[in-house]
Amino acid sequence: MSFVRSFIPKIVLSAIIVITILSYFLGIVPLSNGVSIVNQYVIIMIAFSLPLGVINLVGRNIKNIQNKRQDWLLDIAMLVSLTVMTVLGIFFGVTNTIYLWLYNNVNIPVGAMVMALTGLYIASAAYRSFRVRNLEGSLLLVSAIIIMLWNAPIGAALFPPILPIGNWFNNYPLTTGNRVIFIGFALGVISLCVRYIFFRENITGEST
Amino acid sequence: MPTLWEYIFGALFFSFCIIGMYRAEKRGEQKMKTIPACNGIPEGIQRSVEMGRPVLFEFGSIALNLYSQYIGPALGILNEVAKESARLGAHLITISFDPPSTAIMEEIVKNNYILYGRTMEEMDNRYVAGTDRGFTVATLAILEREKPGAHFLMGTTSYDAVIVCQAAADIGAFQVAGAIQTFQLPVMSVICDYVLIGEEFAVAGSVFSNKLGQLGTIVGHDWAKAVLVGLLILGAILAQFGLKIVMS
Repeated sequence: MSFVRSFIPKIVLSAIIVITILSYFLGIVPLSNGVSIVNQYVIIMIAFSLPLGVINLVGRNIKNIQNKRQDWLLDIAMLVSLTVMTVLGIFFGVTNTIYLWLYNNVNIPVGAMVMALTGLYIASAAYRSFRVRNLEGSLLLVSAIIIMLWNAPIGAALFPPILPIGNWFNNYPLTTGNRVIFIGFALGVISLCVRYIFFRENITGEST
Repeated sequence: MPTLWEYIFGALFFSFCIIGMYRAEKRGEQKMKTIPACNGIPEGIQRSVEMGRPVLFEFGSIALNLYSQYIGPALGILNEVAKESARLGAHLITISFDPPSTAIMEEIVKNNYILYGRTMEEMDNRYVAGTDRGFTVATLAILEREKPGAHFLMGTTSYDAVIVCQAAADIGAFQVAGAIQTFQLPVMSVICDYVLIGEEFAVAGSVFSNKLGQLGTIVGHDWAKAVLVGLLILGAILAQFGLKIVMS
């Protein structure tokens, strides 16, 4: 791998991390301004990278249609949808009647349908998780029943002591577990930053 | 401005990682506990190759600019997945939620493919959608149509983790997930074969690299954890006597 592709990204990343950390801890105005500028660059770069994604998407779909791969008609539908929404949005604005009609009557209901799928898959996942096969499975089942009864209004009506039990579960085991994971990850990110700063991490995927 | 304690602990934790890194490099060896999920990644790829099915890797429905702290550690894992896939001749499909992630994935996969003599035509990096719903549906479609033998979900996800992981389990894919958001962990734990939780996710890339400098920072990270646990115990004891100095 060339010097430019392997070493320059590491120098840039290391410099940005150092500047960001120093601007947080030292509060020096020029450094803080530098961090703001870098953040603006990120937004601009992401905006510029959108065509890259579109080229990838269109190129792959055209190839699928040319080769008549499985479900290639859906690729045509995708390309037509992409073209129609892009043309309407760019040339007639996002407040255009047709654009809004398509957005409100196609995009939103389809999106809601995808969200609704979660319910079906949760039922399937719940069946998988609530089978009592070992000690961990049993603990998970007991915890899930307590939390479900604590959250459902019928739980307190059927068994009033569930409220203090549920509160205890929420305030102690749940909060403790969450904090342990987050603190562990935060320390992991510190070690990651150190590896980036000292050029010990491979950021471009070189394996040697 | 940060408080005095933030300065002290910030300096202390960074110092631990730096000392651990140089110590490991000076000693020339660093023992490391095995993380079962790290062994699961090559296992999943080998299984896919034997079954003649592709390997699917994704960061979940998250944007790089919003959650770069979650994607950073996942890059090391993608590097390992790409390396193993290139070495074993697996068909690796990477899908991404936003174009910058697509570019990063392409770069990592390309470098590993070059290293193992694979051609660029064999690369399959896909940008699928810029919305969480579109991304979920696209992932479901890939799972249903191409039936990957292994599915790696590394990053952080929203509701789609349930849908995608369950759909992958239904087609019999071997799954390794890594997540920080604790509300997805129970679902991943019961559905996936292996899960990288919290700090395991942050250090997995270094464990794969097996480089002394990288492993040394993990040791420094463990020293920082030991200090925190010590403070926790001290704080609990002092709190019994009405002293809340550690808590505050």
